[in-house]
Amino acid sequence: MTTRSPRNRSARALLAVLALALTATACQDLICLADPDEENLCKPPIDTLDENLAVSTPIRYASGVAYRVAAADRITLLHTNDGTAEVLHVTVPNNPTTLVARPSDDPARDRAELLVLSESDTSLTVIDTTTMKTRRYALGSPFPSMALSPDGRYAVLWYSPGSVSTSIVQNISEMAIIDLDAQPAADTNPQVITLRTFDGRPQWISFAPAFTMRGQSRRVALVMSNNYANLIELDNPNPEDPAVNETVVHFIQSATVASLRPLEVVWTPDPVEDDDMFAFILAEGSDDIISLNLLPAEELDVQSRPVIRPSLNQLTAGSRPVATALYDLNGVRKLISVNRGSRDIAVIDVATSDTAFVPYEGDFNDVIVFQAVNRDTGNEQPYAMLYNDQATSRTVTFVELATVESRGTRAMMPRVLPGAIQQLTLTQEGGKPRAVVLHPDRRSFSILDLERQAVAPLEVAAPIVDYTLVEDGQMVLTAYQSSEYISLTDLKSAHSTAVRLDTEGRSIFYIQATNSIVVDHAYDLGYATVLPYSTPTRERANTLRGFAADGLLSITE
Amino acid sequence: MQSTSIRSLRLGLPALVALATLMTAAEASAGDFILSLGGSEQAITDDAWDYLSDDGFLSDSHLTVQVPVVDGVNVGLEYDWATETFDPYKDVSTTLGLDTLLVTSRFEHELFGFFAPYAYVGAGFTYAFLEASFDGDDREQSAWMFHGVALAGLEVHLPTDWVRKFFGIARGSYAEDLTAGFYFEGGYRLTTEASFDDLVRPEPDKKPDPEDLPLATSAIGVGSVDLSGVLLRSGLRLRF
Repeated sequence: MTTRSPRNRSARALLAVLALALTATACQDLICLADPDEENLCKPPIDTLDENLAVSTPIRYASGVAYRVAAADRITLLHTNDGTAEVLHVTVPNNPTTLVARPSDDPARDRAELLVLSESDTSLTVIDTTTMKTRRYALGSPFPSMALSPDGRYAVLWYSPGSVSTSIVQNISEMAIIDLDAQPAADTNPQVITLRTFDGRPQWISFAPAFTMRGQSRRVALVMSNNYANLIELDNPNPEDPAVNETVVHFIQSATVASLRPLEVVWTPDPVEDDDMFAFILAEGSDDIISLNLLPAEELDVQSRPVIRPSLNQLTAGSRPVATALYDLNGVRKLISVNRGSRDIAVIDVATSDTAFVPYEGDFNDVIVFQAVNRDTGNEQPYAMLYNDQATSRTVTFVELATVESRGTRAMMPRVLPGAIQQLTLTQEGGKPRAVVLHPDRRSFSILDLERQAVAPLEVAAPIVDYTLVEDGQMVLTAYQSSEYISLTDLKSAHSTAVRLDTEGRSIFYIQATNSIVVDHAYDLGYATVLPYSTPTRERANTLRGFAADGLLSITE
Repeated sequence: MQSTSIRSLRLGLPALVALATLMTAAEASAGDFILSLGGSEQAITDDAWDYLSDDGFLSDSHLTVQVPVVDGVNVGLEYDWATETFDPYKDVSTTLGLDTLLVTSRFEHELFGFFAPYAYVGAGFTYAFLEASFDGDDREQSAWMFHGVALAGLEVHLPTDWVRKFFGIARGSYAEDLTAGFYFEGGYRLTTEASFDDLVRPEPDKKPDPEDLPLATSAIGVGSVDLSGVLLRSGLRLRF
């Protein structure tokens, strides 16, 4: 009888296993023989190991918050419903680079649509979050930036200063204008134009509100460059001659100033006739406020409307105006400008160009105008508040605009805040003008009652990372750095309620349509906590974590 | 989180018990039984598979016990098992465990004494268990699927003397009647979709203090995957 040593038996068993393994490996190759084009059975594996499925910082839309997930080419929505949220995904063209919510004057449509710019796809995709339908506007050029008119009707895609484009060659004067209320149309929507430039490049865009000119609605914008502006018509697409919609307005320079840098534009239609529109432009390097009057010419455009002709004027403002605001006093339009050079304010009658100057004490770089009830007369009238948001001054000054021209400094009431101003948010909801002021240490903030000109300081244990005002203007929601608490502070009583979450929040949102609070925790794969605003307690909170991976198996490569 | 190997006991252990019972019953009735052990490669065409495996194939192993019922017809049970692990994105990892129990039937016809073409069909259920980790947040979900397989195969019987020599079997020993053969078979595996639309956090090993309880969290759904596809298998078949 032949006997085998255990060693030989083990070696043979190993050989048998090896043979099986080799056969199994060969199976893959045999299967691939049936798929010579490697389209289906033997397609190469996806190469995603280096990619990060990270979500962008969230933005608020009508019913929740939205994230851009570039690696998955999709937008992820947390669609809230009174303290809970459903995760929804919308696939968009390759590598979305910008995500914004579209504003609207119609409260029912405000932020109901999301705009997604895909630079590599050279397209803008609009997502209707109520129907989840999309429409795509082909742009033709890889614009890296988007500007929106305040009413959300028009989007301008352009090359903003400082933006980084993937394109090797960029025509920095090129722009695509999209009427977002209209469907995409070749040649006309978007209308692509190249601006005339003069030793400069477009710096920023100011959209005029809709106005009428001889009974017809008009829409324009000013593309601001140093020393000049391009006036463009948004609603007059003319593919045959795109340049006809553009008019260059050169600012008047003094011999001693090398460059005029536009800082601010204030728009106002003619209060008396529907014949013209005014743009008041504040520019660094100019002591005057540039007044641009848009007038109808006799010549008609392709839509048989009067061609718009700008007329330039200069309003004397004072030395080095840094901020301006427009107000209406008994039917008379006036501008207030803050002049840092002459340390005074100028009150300018827009119609007559009459100017009154009133000196001030303080260090201001901004001004806001609001309506408030005069406690002596009981009448509502305009007031201004001068302040500095560069964290250099604790003083704000209230200006009674109805009497400042006659009473001078006696119509100006300085107030000292507990700290300097780093960020100021104004609310006029409920008819009560208030401001939330964040101080530079971020460990304190103040609630400023603008009508009573009183301040309520609040100190917090951890630095504030984000805050938001509830739409009714009654509450401010706050998230704190390195703290798992959020707080809800009543603006009337300054009373605060804290709610403990699982981890620190990085941004906080109030969703009016669903009465929900969303706290984002800034995790790569998404992490948010949703609470009902009506009962914001830990017991009612619900977290969503890792939602970037939701629907993972259906991501389209 | 419990490991996939422990989870697989939910179906794997009963399957192995069933196979052992079948073998014991065959032994007790002094009948023959056939044991097959092998591996398979299956091409998965569903795009969802791209997020569960680093290639387009599901590799699994199978163990089959069959008994002859009439000449050329064998029936029995088959247990398949597989595990696929993949990191499709940074901080995202998935582990899919599959355990399958099938009732099978094989119809063979021997030619020239060493060559046996056959047809093989089976039907049963697969228990799929998906574990995922999203940025350190662990989630899991199981799913049951119907599973059917239809194959055509070819077995080559090895010479009995050679088998005895290879395994060192002495005449008169328990395995004296042992015959062996290699088989190669191909066909199609059909499964219903495995749906993972409700991945939840695993139960903690010990109950946390109520103060430390995390907030309620929503489930994550990663979607579903169809594991049907062309299948090729090979292995070693032993007859006792």
